[in-house]
Amino acid sequence: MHTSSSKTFDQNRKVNDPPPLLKTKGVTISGYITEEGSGELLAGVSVYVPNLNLGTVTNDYGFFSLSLPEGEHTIFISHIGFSTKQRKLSLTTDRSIDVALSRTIAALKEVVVTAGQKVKASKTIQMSTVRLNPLDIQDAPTLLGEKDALKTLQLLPGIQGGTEGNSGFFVRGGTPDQNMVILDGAVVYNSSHLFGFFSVFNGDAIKSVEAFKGGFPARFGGRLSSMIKIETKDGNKEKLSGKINLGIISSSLLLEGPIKKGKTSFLLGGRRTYADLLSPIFQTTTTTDKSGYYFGDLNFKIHHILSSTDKLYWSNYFGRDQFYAKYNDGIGTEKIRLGWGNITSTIRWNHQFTNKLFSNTSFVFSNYDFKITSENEENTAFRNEEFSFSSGSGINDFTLKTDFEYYASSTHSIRFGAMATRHNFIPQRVLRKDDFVGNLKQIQRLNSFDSALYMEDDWKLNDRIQISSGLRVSYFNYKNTNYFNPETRLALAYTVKSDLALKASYTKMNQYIHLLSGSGIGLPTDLWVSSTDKVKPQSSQQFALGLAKDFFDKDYSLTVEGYYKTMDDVIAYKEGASFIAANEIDTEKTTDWEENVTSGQGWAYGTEVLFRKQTGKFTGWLGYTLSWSEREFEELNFGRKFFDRYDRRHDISVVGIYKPHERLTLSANWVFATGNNYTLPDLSTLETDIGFGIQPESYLSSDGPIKEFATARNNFRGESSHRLDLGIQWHKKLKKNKERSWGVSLYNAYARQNPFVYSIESTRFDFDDPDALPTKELTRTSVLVFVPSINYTLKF
Amino acid sequence: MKNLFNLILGSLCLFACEKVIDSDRLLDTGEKVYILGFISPQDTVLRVSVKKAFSVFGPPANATEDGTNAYLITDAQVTLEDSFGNQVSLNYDQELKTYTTDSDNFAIIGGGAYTLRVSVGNNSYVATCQVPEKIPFIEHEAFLEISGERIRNGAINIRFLDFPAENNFYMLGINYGDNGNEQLNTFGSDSNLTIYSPGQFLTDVLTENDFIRARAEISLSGNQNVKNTTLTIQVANLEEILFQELRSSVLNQFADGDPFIEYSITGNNIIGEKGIGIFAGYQLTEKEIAIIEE
Repeated sequence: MHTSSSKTFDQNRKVNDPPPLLKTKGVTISGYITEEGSGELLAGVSVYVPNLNLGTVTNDYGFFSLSLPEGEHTIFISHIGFSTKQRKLSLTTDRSIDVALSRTIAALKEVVVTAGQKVKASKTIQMSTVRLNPLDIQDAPTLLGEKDALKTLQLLPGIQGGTEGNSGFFVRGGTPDQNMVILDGAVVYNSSHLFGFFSVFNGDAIKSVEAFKGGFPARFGGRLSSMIKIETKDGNKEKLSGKINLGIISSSLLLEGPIKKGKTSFLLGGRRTYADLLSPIFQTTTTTDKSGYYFGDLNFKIHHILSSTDKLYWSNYFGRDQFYAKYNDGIGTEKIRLGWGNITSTIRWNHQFTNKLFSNTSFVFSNYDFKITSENEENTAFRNEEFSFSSGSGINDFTLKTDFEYYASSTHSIRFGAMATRHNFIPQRVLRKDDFVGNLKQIQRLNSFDSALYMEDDWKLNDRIQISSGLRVSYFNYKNTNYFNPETRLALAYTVKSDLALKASYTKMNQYIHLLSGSGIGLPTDLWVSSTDKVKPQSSQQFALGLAKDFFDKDYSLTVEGYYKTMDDVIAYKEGASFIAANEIDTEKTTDWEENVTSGQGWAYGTEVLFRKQTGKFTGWLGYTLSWSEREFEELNFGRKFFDRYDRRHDISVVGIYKPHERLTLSANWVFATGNNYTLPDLSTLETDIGFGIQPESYLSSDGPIKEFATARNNFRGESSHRLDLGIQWHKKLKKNKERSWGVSLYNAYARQNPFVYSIESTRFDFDDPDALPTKELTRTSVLVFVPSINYTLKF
Repeated sequence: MKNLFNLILGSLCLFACEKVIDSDRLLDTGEKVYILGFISPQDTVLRVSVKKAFSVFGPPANATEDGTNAYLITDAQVTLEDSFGNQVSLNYDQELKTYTTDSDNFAIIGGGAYTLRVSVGNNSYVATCQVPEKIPFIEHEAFLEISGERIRNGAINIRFLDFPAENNFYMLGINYGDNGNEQLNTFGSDSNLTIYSPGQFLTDVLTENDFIRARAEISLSGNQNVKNTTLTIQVANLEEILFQELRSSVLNQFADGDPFIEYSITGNNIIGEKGIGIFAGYQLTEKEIAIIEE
């Protein structure tokens, strides 16, 4: 798998062949690769010269630069999902060439795989990276028809879902806050709707998804476990086009087109659920109790070509979840609103200084906000008045960053850059209007400054050895506390054969902001907080070893990787503190978050296997992960090591997409996962009064003389889960270049009752057997057991 | 939080189902000896509980068809020892179902270190504790609205001085009534305080070497007759493990099985095979307030 960086490779050369020395005068070709018909800039496109066995790939903005000897050369430009183009060039001086690639319908013909036409896993130095083809997201079976990039990512090895149906994910034994999800350069702090069942990214607006699980290049930092880079489309520069998608729970609309043809384009995408709009139909008119929920999001982007060397992007995202309820108990009414969501806005400016030096400068705003509001009207013997309460939390980031890419030669490239972020955390915001208790306005603010400088050097020493080294120096400030940490990055690749490479990497990472989560399922109440003088930054070291094997004749690829990761100063709630934090959501917070957390160590290790086919009528992959994830905290579990909640021994995913012809897409995936760990009471004994002077309140409300307790954290491993998802799509070309698709999905097709949560319940009195003794039972709650859905899509 | 929880379940109910499953193949918990002893200079009787603990699943061990109570251990050897080598044996009390001795037989003093030794069959268990210092005084302000014989609404502001240069863990209580055994545990707080909800548990993390403050909001709708009786304000200075244990019990009860709240595990400082439990010290300070109709 390649990265978006421009790295050199040769596909046909045997390892004993002489290196491609440029004995004559060198010239540089550079330019942009776009999609034909829309002008969309394409990242990761292979630009390859067979007679020299030299090549490169386009960067995130479709730019490439390749140094070649003078003379006549044939250049192959190829990309998955597009037809390969050849250009014959007679090179005597530096040249700028822009190429437009046209999309192919994989079903029309089996793509003939020619060695050298594609970037292969065995030819790049980057490891622990996966790139999702947008078609994988469009074609894979979905839950309730919602195309979901993050759930598709979970089907890849090393990236594990949490609970059933949840879009939250865990990478190589890390926690959700150790994943940085970046949308068009902006960090998205809460990447899920509806408590994690759907991701916030509108699948129709996505251009590319790339996930880094390890071997992080120095340009990435700030998280321990992963970087998920999502880019939205720039918008069609040639004609107005769009897509309407109607699903069971939501509908979406995407419009894109030129503002000034060939120069300026826009993209506007919106999505909204409509259960709240339909629910009044099912609510009786006699009741005054009402409730509803919806989520929606909006993407808006403008791309403007200032000149042949300057491009401007303005990307915006707005997403919101909203729950509302109104209750009337005869004494008074209560109106409750819960709302949360992200706002991001990014302005990026690309500048091409020379045909070898490219830069991008970004100004980014990112916001996450959670708010709960309660308005009451009460009419009792004690109160006859109105009172309201509002509580919330949030984070605002302002980031300035600049990145440079210098393509020194066909074997050597350098990246360098800097970033600075001002974090503005609001761990608590309370507003109370109450004549009886008193009014209150209290906002807790916590500001910090996060910055970094980095440099990467990718160097192909010879035909067998490539080395990528990097250094990132990060600085973080909170009040009078400063953290200054150098982070080394190193990656090596050794080419054993032309289609087989061994790889190794080492990365050191630091993370200065943390997510306090008591639920483990990504609730909006999870709280982002900063490192402080008391809470140290998290840090990690990761070692990875792997091999990458390509099968050129069949266009298969196989990667096998082993990793070992240590994590220091990871944070968690102290015993009982997750209840305290949760209980304070709709009250005033009476504890400081720093008091509720404790820090410890973590270890994660395992092996991942990915066997993948990306072209042809049949595409898909088989992924397997064998892993362990452990934690040790002085203040948790009596200081003993314990397995993390999402420690998962085995994780298997099989994904297949078959397109026999252009009118039909069949898809299926099967997943298997070892059960999660839970903390449940496991012992019981007789409650005894031992004369303690104060009785806790609970003892007063205890429902019996038996005391239940848990003796270890995560003392219980749940059952394994597995399921089969099926999808079928029928496509039909209509007049005026329109296309209509009907899609049917079956989520959990064989209705497996996978565990969502476990609880301990008491047996009820049995009238048929009145002498039966009361018993405690372990009860499993399963969700999403056989979920069919249908959706309709119209492209125009 | 309940709204969130209800919303999640409501969202999923269409596609959800529940099933009782066989716990034996997922949770292998063997029998253990559960030992509990909290000692204080204010105790008139020293008590240590020694019982069996069984898997939570299945019928409770005291609900057997023949009426026997399988939790009880009545033949344990239980001794307390101080740092000067003084020892006392505790005997099994049939009525209290604990091992007891009169506090006149063995002095518990503030700052003192104590060792508990328990023998059950061939197994021996040992645990140590150190009794913390006693809060010297409690200051209060009471605002009680009395209607007829009852307190309708009220609040008591409480403060006491924290012990300097050490981490301290406090628990609060309020008793009322003639015999002082009925309780009002309705603690709230103002926003400047370090006070745990449900309200009885306080630390000095944010208020080191300063006054620890708390506010008890009282609102009764029952028929308790409290006129001309007393309220007793209680402040206990606890060893940390006891604080954690009591707080875990309360929080687990209040979480009420919410699957999205991490269940708190019990403390354990008992050393010995298959032994579990807590031996800890505390000191209790009390202050009485007369309830007078204004």
